[in-house]
Amino acid sequence: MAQGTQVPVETGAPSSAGRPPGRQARPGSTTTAGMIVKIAVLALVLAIAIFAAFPLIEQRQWLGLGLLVLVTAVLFWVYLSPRRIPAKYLVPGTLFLLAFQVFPVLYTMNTAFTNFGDAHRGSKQDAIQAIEGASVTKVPGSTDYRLSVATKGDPVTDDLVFLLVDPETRAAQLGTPDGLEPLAAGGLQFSAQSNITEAPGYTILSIGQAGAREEDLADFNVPTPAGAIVPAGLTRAFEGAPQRSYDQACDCIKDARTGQTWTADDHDGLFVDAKGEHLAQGWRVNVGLRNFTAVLTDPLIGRYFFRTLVWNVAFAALTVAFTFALGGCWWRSCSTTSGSGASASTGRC
Amino acid sequence: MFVTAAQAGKGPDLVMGAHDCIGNLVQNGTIDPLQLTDDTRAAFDPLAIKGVTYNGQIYGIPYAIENVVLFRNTDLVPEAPRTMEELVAKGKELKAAGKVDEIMALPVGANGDAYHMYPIYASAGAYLFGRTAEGDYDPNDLGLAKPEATRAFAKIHDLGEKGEGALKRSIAAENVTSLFTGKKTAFLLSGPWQIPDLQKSGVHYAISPIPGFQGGKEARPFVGVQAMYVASKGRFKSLAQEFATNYFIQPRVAVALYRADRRPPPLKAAFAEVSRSDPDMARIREAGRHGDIMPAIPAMATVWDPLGKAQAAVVGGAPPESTVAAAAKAIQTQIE
Repeated sequence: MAQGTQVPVETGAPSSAGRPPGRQARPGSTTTAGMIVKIAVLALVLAIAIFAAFPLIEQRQWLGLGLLVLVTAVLFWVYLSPRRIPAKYLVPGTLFLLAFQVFPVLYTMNTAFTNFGDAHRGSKQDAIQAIEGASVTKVPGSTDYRLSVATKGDPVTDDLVFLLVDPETRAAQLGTPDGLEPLAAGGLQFSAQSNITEAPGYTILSIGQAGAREEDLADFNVPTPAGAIVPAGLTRAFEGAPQRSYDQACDCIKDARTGQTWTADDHDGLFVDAKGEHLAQGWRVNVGLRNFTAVLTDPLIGRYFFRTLVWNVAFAALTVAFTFALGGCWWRSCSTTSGSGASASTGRC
Repeated sequence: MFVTAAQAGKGPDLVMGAHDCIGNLVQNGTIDPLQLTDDTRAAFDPLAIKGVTYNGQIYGIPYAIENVVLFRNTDLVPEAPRTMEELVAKGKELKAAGKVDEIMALPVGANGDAYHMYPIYASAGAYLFGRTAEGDYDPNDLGLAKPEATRAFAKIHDLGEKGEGALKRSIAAENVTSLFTGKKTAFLLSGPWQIPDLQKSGVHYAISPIPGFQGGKEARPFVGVQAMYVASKGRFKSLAQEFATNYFIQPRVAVALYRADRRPPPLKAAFAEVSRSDPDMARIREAGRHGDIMPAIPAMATVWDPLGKAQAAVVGGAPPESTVAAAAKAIQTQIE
């Protein structure tokens, strides 16, 4: 890199890949158009890389980020130099080959060793969240509150609070992450449905404003002795409690009402009770060679699998054979039709 | 489709669909339960609420409730038949007189249609899944493996191509409507989605419940509920919940949806309003009054295909006992 600024700029931009290498302008020669195209394409590559980096950093996907930096660095290293002519032609094709052929194959192979499928799509944490979320029920005899989402000042940036009204008595309460406290009745205005429309010291958020704060609402609840005040939409709230919760100590889900427990079975990716019954939501686990064993030992799966396998091989062979046949008799009006590959049914849902 | 999109974080905030998808959607953690006030819950037909309830939680806001009924051509058959035997006898009589070509039109097709066949299956005393103490369907109690199912299949066989000729594989979803509107048959077993075509054709028709076998049980149709669901991972979930639980439940929304697509609204107030001008709606609900809510459990997905094919085979004359046993075994293996 000691050559510094004396390095002449190379002209072959990747977009001219259609030309055979032999016709390429020799290293050292320069055309303005070539340089502009090269700068534009590299700028685009950098822009896409920066654009892709933000979500990766946000989701802490360090491996993906490393890969992104590496690929971008390789592209710049190859195209910023007047040499490395073969790489200039090979790199784009190789990258696309990796992205569209090699990675899908590796991903499919990886999936083949898991129990991926209905009820086993996400992580164990996802399953726990879904089980707990699906078990939130209204605390018996509790109030159906009318809700107004509010802040102490700015509707976009300030912390949210819930202004809650019992529609029967119009008694108002303030709900914060610290709990419930009474709200002074002075100066309160109500809608026909008993929602607070004006409260001194608070800014009431419109439906649109409240809806835009989904991220804050998702984590917001007001703890109560029996559970928490949870919003049902943006104008109503109820006191709910999850009936089922995960207990780290026993690695199980407990039902607060019945006392029943479902213990995590990391072999199958399910929560299973003493009778062997499992909860609907499971997670994805590695099952080793189990899928492959099933193909060979389960006649039902085997029949469908081998039928598909035979057809896939036949399809590939026939496609080649027909292409040759077509090429062989191309001067005649010779036509052939071929069917599509085996298609997987994905169900109506 | 929705499950895949939701998993990738690119799903919609609200989903509409038949209630029998709920099991699959919940299993994959893609929809959330909704909290309805007691008043809201009471405003709906209880059967519709039952349809959208899964594991004790309400997951959807119903906007249509539908079931299969018997349409009859009133020019040919002024009085509704009281039993399946009466229906078949009347159909044969009309056929012998050269007034129609087919005894009745119930879609079977090459792969069968377990949904439309269900009332006949149920009337013969069979069931698909038993019920738990809470009244939910129990995937461990497969009715197809019981002797009643064999008897029901024998009844289907007797109505089929080797018997009365009332059920035929050549009659399928594609041609039932034209058979009835073209006056080639006096009886059509189908649902409210046929009404626009029937009205357009000008055939005089009446709606009545599907008659059961003499001395058998009621011919209970499957009751399906169309509903709106809130996605678990939607970007504007609170807003979606607000829309579903506070706006979508309003009678004028239900009436507007009825105008766009003539199916009975499950919201009582809306149903009362549309029934005043459209007596068909009340007759459809009456025919489904004792119907069985379609099972929403994931196991149901494994039933449709083998059951339909087994029924088509028996309609074509296959022996009922071995056919039903093979179907039961195939479904049992898949459930496990």
